[in-house]
Amino acid sequence: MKAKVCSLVVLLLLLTLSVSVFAFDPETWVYVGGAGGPQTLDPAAAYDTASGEIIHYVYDNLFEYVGGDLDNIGPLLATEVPTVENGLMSEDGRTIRVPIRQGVKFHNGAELTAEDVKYSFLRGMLADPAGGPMWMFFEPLLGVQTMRDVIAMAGGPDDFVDISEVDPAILRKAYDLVDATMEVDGNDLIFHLANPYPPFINILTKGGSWASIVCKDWMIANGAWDGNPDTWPKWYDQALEEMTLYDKACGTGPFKLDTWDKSGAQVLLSRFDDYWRGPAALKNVVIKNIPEFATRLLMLRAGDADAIYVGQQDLPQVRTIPGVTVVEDLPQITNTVLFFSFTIPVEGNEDLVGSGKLDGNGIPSDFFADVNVRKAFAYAFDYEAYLNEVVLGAGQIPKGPFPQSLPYVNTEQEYFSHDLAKATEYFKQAFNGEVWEKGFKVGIVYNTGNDARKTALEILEFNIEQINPKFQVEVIGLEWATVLDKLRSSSLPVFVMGWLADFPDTHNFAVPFMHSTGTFAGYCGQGLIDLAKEQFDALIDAGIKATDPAEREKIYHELQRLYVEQAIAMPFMEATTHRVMRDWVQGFEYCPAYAANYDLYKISKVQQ
Amino acid sequence: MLTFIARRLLFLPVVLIGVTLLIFVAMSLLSPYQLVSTYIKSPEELKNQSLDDLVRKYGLDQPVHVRYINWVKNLLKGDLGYSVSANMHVAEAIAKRFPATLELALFAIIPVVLGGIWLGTISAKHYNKPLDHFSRVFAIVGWSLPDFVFGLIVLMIFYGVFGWFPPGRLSMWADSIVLTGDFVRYTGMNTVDALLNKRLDIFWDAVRHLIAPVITLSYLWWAYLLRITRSSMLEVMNKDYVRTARAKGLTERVVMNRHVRRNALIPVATVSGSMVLGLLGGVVIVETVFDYKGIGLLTATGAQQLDYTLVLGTTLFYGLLLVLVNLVVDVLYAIIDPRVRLE
Amino acid sequence: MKKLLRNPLSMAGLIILLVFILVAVFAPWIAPVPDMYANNPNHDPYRVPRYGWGNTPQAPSKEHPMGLTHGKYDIFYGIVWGTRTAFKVGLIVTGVSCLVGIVIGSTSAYIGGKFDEVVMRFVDVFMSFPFLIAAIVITTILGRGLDKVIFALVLFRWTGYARLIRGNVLQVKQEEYVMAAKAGGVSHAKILIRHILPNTIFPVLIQASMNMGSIVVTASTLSFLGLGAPEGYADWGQMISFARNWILGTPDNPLAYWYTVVWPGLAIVLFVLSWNLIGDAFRDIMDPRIQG
Repeated sequence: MKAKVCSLVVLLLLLTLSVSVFAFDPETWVYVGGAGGPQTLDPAAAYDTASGEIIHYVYDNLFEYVGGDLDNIGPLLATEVPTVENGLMSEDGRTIRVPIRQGVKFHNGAELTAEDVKYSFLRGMLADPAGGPMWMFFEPLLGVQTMRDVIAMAGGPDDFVDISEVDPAILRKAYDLVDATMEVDGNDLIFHLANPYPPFINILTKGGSWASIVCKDWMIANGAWDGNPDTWPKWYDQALEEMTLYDKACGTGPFKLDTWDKSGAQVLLSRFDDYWRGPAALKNVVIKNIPEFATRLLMLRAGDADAIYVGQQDLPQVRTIPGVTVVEDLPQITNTVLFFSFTIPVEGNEDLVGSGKLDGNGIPSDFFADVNVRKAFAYAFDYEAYLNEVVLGAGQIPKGPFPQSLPYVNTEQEYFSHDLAKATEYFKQAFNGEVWEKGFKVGIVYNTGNDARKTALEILEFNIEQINPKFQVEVIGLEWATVLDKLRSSSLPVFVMGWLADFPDTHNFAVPFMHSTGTFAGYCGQGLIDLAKEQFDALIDAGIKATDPAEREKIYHELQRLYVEQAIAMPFMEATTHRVMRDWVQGFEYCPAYAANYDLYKISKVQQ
Repeated sequence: MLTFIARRLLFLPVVLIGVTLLIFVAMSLLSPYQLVSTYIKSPEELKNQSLDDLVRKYGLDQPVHVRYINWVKNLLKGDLGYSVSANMHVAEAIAKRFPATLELALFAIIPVVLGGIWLGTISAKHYNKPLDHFSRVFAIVGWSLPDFVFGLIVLMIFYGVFGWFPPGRLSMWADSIVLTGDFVRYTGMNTVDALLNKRLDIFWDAVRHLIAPVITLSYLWWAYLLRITRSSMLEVMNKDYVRTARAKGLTERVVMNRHVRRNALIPVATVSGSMVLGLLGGVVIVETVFDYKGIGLLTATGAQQLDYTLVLGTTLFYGLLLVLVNLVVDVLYAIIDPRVRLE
Repeated sequence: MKKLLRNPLSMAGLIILLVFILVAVFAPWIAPVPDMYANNPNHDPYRVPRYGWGNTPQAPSKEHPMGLTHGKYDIFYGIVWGTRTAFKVGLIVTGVSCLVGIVIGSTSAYIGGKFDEVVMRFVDVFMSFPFLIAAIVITTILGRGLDKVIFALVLFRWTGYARLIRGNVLQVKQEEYVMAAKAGGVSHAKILIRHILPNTIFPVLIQASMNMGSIVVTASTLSFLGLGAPEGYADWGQMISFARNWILGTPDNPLAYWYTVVWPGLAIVLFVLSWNLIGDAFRDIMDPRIQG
């Protein structure tokens, strides 16, 4: 009896093994990413890199970065890149004519027209889902941030809860305002900007998933806005899953969307044979998500995955695997920054500010409003140790709030360094010597799960505590949800965040880091907001309007200098990135502005 | 008996309300800005979104009782809501992910129970002799080893070294067939559906992907079953009626099989009920390591992202399951052991 | 007692447990707080020292007899002080949940009827939560920390004991000696404590001893999911979850980072083993129905 059971089991096992073993398939691509996955495939709503990746393969933009070079923008769905020289852009940069390529097919067979291009952006702006990327159209075209602002411009309220509350006449007026910014003229689309905006072309370039071109007829046939100026409010700020392009797609890109298998956390694409640039080499694409690194690694080694996501700290394990190529030191447009809150609420925040007073057991609300304290912290950090030991050399030390991969950055700017003597000096000057005398106790925060940030804080803690035994620093890990909540009320005295560029222009960093309405001003307290209003706002507003590159350089250099000299915050890393793939992957091209990890149109697989 | 069952079932809504209320109470302890993190999942995604706009859009600033009432209203209409972390409706998410865990549990129960009983019987038969000691230690190591350690070792050996059992539920070729038109989904369980679709190759592929997680789960649970079986058998082995049977001259084998084992298996049966529940609750770690996308991983991810809509839906589902399974177990227990009276 | 000493496995269990107790008691001498922290009065000795800022583990050497794990944490220190953590968590959780479970379960079973039904539904509510989900929810709201882990574990463990003792009490309730005591007019409380509990409590105690070990395992699962003790705390579960990305080693040497798994793994396995063996030994001794 037992013997029979055993032999049956063995037979079953052998049977399972008989089915299909790994075979090299040059036409199928499998990429395994880490935790996460797309949130939506709609270009008007997607603002995360996972969504941007899929959109990159399925849609095209008007322009692209030729060869991945940020300084070389070339036409894609447009036939020419508008410049003042070729007459397509007006002298003041406010009128831009884009000639649209003819003979380009969508996945459903329809042909691309300028009307499709206008519809793509217009419907996106009219929908303007909350938390989405459409502000990048509103800012250049209308000088505001949201559709809500446009409705206010048209005379309506800006605090309505439901759009049905607003007078239809005002909504129609708002529509007209947006409609007027884009004009179809034959095969061309003309943009009318509110102000000169040098990076506008960058916003439209591939890598900006929000500027993807959709097919108007297909959209209308699938329940999207029909183009009627009065019905648009029905599609305003819908929930993600209600939007037409949530999990469907019809673009002009080299791949078609087959399925977004949400429960299986994978997206399946297949080749679009009528792609206007000629069909891709790859026929099937699978983008999967598996949170466990060890599992991904085994798949790469077995050849079941052509490329995988590998975290920075796991890279040493991967370099020595035979048959695996690691491409490193790829520049990104990102930085990691240690922020200070200038005005910290004391009530209910005892874990982080202690007693709330400068008595050696806590910090007062305006502790970091004193530039000496900020500078002391900035000189206490060991930048080299972080770069070499934590990031293992994959990056460079910043020179200011703008990553050096951007234009208009002063690489000669004098910057902070690990100098405990200087730090001591600044501490002694802080609060007229009271800080040195009385000491302090502060909690510094990282969001749990992020090793590198935790280590950065521990480096800071270690160095500061060396300076004076009365200085007590506690490194605290908090859940992301709690961090977000505390950020909103600027309750975190010290926190580490990063910023990833939306488009490669210095303005995209200047606003969040230095403008009084920018993201980080909000999280760093009223103190910073006031300071920004006083010193930075005017410069930033001038910087985006200036069309002369020399003038822009002057402005951004000045902003950088102000930032560093006042130690507004402490940028401490500009990390590079890397890619890990099997050695049979050919044609890999990198562009810092792309959300997609691999530009699959250019990739082919050749067995070594 | 019937009144007992009826009374239990009447209590079901009470239990479910209690469970969901607890979750909503927990939710009320969180601020709207903590809850908005469901929509901005990580610091990398934090751009210049207006948190207030998001809070307003998703109604996160409404008082808890209002949200609870809305939820119940929708529930009565049959709508469990939309899960942001799963990117689909909650009901759909459960319908897609639960069968995976069910399949895993069903395939795992057999080796776990059989193996556990076999080991337990050996231990009891050779009480206090080396074989007893060895099998107990062997099982306990499985019980004490953290599941991800063992899971990763299994994955490394059987996939990394031998390449036999890859992670996931299906190979890529099978997956593309299952996801595109031709394949009809009856139960959501790959093995069953493959047989019903008359695709033997997909069936074997599905089985093949089950083997490694089942091995891991088996080893982890054997100790539990071994202990129950062993102590139960030892108890029975020394009972009077067994001694009588021996005294009557029956062979040891007959004594063991007919008298001892049958009675010893009663607690095993009841324990299996809770074990099945435990497995169905989703073995999160095994699902993580083997990329076996089941309901455990779904709920864990949802909980971590504060996706309360999803957590409510799955907890409701699990609560339902639990009450029903417990009911069945209690009834069976009463049937088997006549001394227990259902009150 | 003699039986305990005669059984080699029980002896082994007892010895292992004694070793752990000694390590826990003498932790500050076996793995003293390193000099770099010694002068800081606020330093928490449960914080495992880091010997570098990088992540790659380092093989055992003279200065670090068990090596350094992910994050350059000292494994030896983590194991030694982790023994204290294991005992602390295990004893508190088991003690409190056992007590709560026994009180609620036995009372409910004894009183029986509607009261029992209501209580059991209450138990069902708690059991309806998959434990891991509840732990995640609790940690997100209350924050990370060992005390929150203990709270979560107690909250969801007492139901197991309650059910177990309820089942036994229901059985024993019908036995003759209980009926006799009732007939004799003995007060309910006395019956419960003097007659019923002693005959029903052993399976619970045995279960408790087995759980002492499994609590450590559950805690390590929580660490794996990013809950539990704060990062860098001396906790075996944390130590072993650090090994997570290094288990595969390097392609030419899969065992390159064996020490990150083996030392904490051994600690957990031996701890659980010892409690299991002792639990079994208890059962063998105290249950008069089993003879050699």
